[in-house]
Amino acid sequence: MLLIKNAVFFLHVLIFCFSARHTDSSVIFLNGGRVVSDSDRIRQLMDEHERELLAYAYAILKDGMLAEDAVQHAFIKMMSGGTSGIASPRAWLYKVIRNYCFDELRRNRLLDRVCKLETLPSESSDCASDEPDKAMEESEKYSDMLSALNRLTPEMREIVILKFNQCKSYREIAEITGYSVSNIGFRLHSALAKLRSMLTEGSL
Amino acid sequence: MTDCGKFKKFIADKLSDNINIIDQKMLDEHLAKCEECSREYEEFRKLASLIAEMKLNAPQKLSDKARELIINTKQRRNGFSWLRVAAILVPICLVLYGMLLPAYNSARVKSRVSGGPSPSEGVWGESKQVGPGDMLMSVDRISPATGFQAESISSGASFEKKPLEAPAKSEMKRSQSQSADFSYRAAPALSSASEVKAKDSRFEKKQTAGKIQFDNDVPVTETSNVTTTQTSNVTVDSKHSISHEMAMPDSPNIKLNNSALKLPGVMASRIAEGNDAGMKKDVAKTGVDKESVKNEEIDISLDTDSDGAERKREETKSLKGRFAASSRNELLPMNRTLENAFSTFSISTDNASYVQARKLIMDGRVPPPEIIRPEDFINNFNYHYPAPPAGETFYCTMDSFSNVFRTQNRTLVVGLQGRTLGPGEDEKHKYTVLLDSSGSMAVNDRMFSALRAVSLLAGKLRPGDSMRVLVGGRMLITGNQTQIKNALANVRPGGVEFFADNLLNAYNDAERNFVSGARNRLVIITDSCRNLSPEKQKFLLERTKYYRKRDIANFVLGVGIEGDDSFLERLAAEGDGAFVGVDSADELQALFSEHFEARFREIAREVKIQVEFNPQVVASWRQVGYVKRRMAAQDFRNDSVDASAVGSGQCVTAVYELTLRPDIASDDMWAARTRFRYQLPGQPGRDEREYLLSAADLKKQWKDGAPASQLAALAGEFAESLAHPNNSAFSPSRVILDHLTRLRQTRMPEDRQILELEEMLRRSK
Repeated sequence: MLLIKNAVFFLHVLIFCFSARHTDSSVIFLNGGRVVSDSDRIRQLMDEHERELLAYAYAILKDGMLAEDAVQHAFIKMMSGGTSGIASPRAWLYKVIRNYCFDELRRNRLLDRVCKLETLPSESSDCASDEPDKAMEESEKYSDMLSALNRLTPEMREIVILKFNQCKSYREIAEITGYSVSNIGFRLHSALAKLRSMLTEGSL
Repeated sequence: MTDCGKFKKFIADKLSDNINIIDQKMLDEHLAKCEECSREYEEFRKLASLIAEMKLNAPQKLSDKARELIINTKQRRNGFSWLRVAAILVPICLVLYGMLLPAYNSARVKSRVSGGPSPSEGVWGESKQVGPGDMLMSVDRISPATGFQAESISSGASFEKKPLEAPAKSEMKRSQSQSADFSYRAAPALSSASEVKAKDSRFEKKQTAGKIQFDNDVPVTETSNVTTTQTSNVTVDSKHSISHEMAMPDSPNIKLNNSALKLPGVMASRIAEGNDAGMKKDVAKTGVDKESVKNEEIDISLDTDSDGAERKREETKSLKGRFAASSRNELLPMNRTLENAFSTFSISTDNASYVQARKLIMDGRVPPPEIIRPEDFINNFNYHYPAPPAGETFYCTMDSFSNVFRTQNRTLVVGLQGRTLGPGEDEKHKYTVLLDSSGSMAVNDRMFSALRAVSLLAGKLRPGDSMRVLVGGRMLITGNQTQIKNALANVRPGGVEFFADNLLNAYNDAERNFVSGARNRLVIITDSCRNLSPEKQKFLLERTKYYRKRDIANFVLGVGIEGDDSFLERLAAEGDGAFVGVDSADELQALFSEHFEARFREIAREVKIQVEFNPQVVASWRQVGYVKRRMAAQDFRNDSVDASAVGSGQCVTAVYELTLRPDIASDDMWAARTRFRYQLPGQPGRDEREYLLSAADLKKQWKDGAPASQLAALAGEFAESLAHPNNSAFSPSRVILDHLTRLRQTRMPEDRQILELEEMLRRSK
């Protein structure tokens, strides 16, 4: 009798131990009561964030293909490592992309000189044919700005585009770049000053 | 015009709608006055709106191909799956259980006859990880009659007053070895003659090491200090004033306390409760166990609050200061000085664990506790201790101040600074390089780094030095610098390689081409070595030892190490080398430029350190890290037990945490004694030096400690909090970061390594 009691108890302890440990290290977790696997989760993350992530990588690398590579790299990294140790997936993805982009630029210094930012080609070609002058003017208007942005350092371009083009808050920018919130103001200011000096030089 | 500079930031802030009302008002006033700034603002506004209008030609979504690739990526599983382990363990346990049960039950019957607790209870008490809430239970259950304790009593040490030490089994094993150390105390080495010598060397210390001051400015004894803190804490509760500033020397604590005062009523009354308990405890002289158990209970009632209260709990903890912290001590593996007064270890100059953890943290992941070696964290930093006096190989500093995290404890930092070799003093070198070229080296530029390392090393060759490079198991390159560099261009990673065979081949090659009169060294460059069975590992370590006896040292360079690296660490430790990790080109460059001398030119070998604590001053102690480097006290003078080497200009640091006895008789007593023993290269004998720290030196506060020692203490605390994530005794990284930032801002030069540590702390919040 005692033997059986002991055995049952022992088994319970074993089962308890392993079940507890298992949930700790497992990659499956609950999302609103529903069990979601990593791949579903990552699919969802892709749908939610791919656009802003691509835009961000594009701002640094200035090339669509490379930007796509960067984002793909980040997701593959997340997939292969599992999402279990990651507190905020969005911030994590931003960080990985940022590191990748700057590594890429460091590895190939020509990249920064070769790639150029572009604006979207005007959406309706009819509009362009109707008012060719206006379309020309439009592209003219941006071209100076684009070339100035192209010549900015990647760090400056990153912060300017994040703030003014993608309208992120200081807090978000701080989270992405790792600068402190109070530092961002200074950085933005110096970037704008640089842009201004480039634009006035160009027009002279 | 005069102070436009300070408005520059506000302009950008205003454009980004991130400005507070006061700044905005100041800016508006300024813009009205200053023409230049208002023009600048206007221009910037235009620029910003132009950028905002632009539609950049960024891709809108990932291509289907990319998505497919991502979803089909296989999960990499470095760690082992518990399921698999369970599948193996469960049958084994069942079989064992069936076999042992009869014996077990008979033991149970026997112990019932003798009146002791039943063995099953004993098993519980021993195998469970004891958290704060379980403390009471385990006290009741581990009674002197359980199997292990009976054993240790028979081996001669007394354990009646053993504190509630948590992780039972391993801890107890250690205390068994402590009893062995205990007997060593009676050994003739510490006869009265050596006491005299000790005094002499203390005078010597006064003369040579001007840095260690005898701090008599603070004549307050430890007990009177306690009373002042008590009274000031009471005033905090009654008047809500900050008058306790004097008693609490650390400004971070004060900051926390202030915010703690804003707690709602319930919480505040709890604090009062805690303080009462703490006072009672101190009045009753902490030694009384039952009283402290009661206090424990109150702490637990605080601990069981919901998550939201966790922050507040931490703050109440620091408010309660030394009282609450004393209960934290029970979560730490402290050694009682009466039982074991000696801490003996081989020095370590590795940093690979730090590098690996840094990579993970920077990636936004939490490093697994098993890869953390606190000594790697501590020794990653250069502390710039004073250079040794002429003719000496080492300079030893001992610095002690109140522990900033557990304020009733003391921190002791022991630092050794090696001398710097002059240009003509060096011996010749012969390098044999084993370059791992297996398939995994193709990942992330590892091969590139490895090849770069070889060519940098080749660039460091001087007349008389020689070098042979083995690439995997296939190719051998030798010759002068240019020949080596040219041949490296053809090396490509790929294929499966057998690390064990290659290592033995390389050692073999090094022995066949041994250059006498030179330092023969095998440099192993690899990314990892998994898939080695324990037997094979043991065999390789034995061979490494064998070659070490034949004067072939090694050096392990890890490029982009991932996962379990404990074997490589052992390999370097056994092979008289260091295990250094690099994960960027800059670090590699630094290793072969400014750190080259420290890593490859040795000033002393077989360096062991022994710190002895005076039981009359120090009640208990523990060492941070160096777990695998520790050795028995009697091995200090046993020259057949190996230890590691120190390079030119390198420093080695060890951190201790101490609790003092409340009744220290006199400040003139010695408190800690550091001996180190080393062998000079090319000389058969050993040298030994000894330094003393007096009890008066232990009186310093945190703010009076040297900045370098403080940095070491913070790095150690960070490593331990990573290594023991569930142990609430260690501080959260937020608190460490506070201290580190303050330290850097006030007392340290701007240092890249410190900024990097700050970044790590910030990211591991």
